[in-house]
Amino acid sequence: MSSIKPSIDRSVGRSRQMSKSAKAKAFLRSKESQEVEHYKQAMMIRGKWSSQIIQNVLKDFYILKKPNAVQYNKKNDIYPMESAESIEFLGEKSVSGLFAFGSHSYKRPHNLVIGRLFDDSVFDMYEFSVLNYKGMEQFQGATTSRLGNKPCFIFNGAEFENDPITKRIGNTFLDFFRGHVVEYINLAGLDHVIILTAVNGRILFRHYSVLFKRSGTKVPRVELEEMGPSFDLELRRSKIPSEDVEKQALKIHRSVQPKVVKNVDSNDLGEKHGRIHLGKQDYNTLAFKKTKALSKRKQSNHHSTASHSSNDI
Amino acid sequence: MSTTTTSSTTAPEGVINASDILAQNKFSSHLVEKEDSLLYDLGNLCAFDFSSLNKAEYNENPEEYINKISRDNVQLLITRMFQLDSKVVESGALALLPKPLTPIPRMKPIPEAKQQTRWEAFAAIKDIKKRKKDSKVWDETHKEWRHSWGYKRANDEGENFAMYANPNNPEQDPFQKLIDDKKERVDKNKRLEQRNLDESHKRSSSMVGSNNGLDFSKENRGQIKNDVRNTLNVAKVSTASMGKFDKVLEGDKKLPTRGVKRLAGLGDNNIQGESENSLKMVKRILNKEEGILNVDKATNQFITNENKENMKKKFKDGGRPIKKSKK
Repeated sequence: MSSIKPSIDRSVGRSRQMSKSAKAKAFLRSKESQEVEHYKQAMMIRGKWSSQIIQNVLKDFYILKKPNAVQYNKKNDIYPMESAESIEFLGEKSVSGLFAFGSHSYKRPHNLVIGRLFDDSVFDMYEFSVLNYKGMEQFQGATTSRLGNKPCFIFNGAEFENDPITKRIGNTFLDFFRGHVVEYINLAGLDHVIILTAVNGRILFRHYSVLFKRSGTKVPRVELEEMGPSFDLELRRSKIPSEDVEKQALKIHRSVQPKVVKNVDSNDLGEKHGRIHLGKQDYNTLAFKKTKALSKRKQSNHHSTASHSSNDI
Repeated sequence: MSTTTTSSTTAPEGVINASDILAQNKFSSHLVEKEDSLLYDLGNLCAFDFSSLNKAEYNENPEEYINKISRDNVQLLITRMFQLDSKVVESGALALLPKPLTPIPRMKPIPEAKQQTRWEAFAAIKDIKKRKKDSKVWDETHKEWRHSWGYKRANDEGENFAMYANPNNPEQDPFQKLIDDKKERVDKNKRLEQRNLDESHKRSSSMVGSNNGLDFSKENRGQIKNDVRNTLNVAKVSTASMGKFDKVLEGDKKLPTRGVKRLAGLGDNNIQGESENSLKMVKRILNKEEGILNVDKATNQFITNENKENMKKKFKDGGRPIKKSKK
């Protein structure tokens, strides 16, 4: 037995990639997982064959998502729904968590795939056909929002609550366009809104700029001006995550989890209830129902009590 | 409006007027016609309208209908945003956003907690805080502030053209010694860093055979020894005959046995003992009712016992009980 000895492998703990320059180190650090993620970068990928409409959609998405976006504008021979390997490679390369892929074929005209990556593999993706497209260029003259301003979102339609796939699609669009997660927001910067409407089996994507008008109160009156892009989506195929992967992906780091307040809860009426721990009860001071057996015997007839007590119960 | 003002002046102080509350709550009533039935996730600047979409109206004139409900919904959302707590800055008002409610999947899994290095662990125990050194230090010889390390650093001994020899070892080259010492320090640092890296790599498997990283620290030695022994024992008897016909090697006393799982007292020809055991068990199950605690009986027993104890105390000396003096 003594002949078998664990040989110490010097490379055991060397899990960290070694890099020489500060720039390379910073790049590697950007690829490491973060406790709290503040934004996701998106890739706009053009397929091997694509229509003008699809290319415009990707361009508009790129403009909406800038500066957290990269474009892969060459003809990429990728079919995400069949094999997502290339997408995962590009995602790892560009440190992106979101992708939009556009292609066009006889079988699937004006095909748009929107998806997300988790741990450098595809988390979920949805394939749509794009209909009734109107680009940003067609709304020229409209007030445009500033680059990098967070958009507002409105989700119209019961499907965003009831239909599980539509609910996921809504979540994906929110994830795609919401930008940085921030604590404060400048109210004057709320200048564009993305409105998704689920109706008649389609999802309508509309993008408006928000204009504030005087209303006489602190809250301004809102006017909307469409600035595009505007298109309808019809779901073709979808890939949803497995349960355990989803559970893994939805975890929140301990440092940002709200602190659990123990022993305090509220009921349906909003009343606050507290629970108090009294410790162990002292049975010697317990107030019994008065019985003859428990009352103290008189001192004078102690002899008789002694004779009465017996053990055979 | 005039009615509310008059009523509020006539009403005694401390009485709240219902009309005043209504006026406050209908913050945006003149801005929106519809009722507020939306769900909000203000952390994501997001509102969900699950109920108010009318398909018949939509089919009549889709674009116009969507424009109309969109404006109302955006107005409701913006109203909510303007009601948030805010602080005023030069460029406008900053609204404090609540935490986002919609669960959004992460891009990468949560990072594993980093292992402390030996120094960090020690510093935590001793409550040693990290202090930041000044990057520039006063140099006495040059009379100027210089970097504390690196090229042209302050108080650099190697820069001197002459140095005192070591009186105990005059043969030694003091310049070479500086270089050697430095190299030794660097090597030591590298060694310790490697040790920290090795130790931080947690062992994830209990068996030695698997190729995962192992923790070779002192505390783990017993565990590793056990693992090696178990792995070896399994390997020894992993032949076609499960070790039955294998030769015992020199130095080994006997081949390791695989643990045999069986119930004690069963199947070892002791029929009488077996039946006795079974009967005992049956009895215990069937007579379970008797075992339940009789509260009255127990209470009485307790009281009599207590009386007895009291009597014993009183008659400790064998004489009469001591009477308490009345005051």
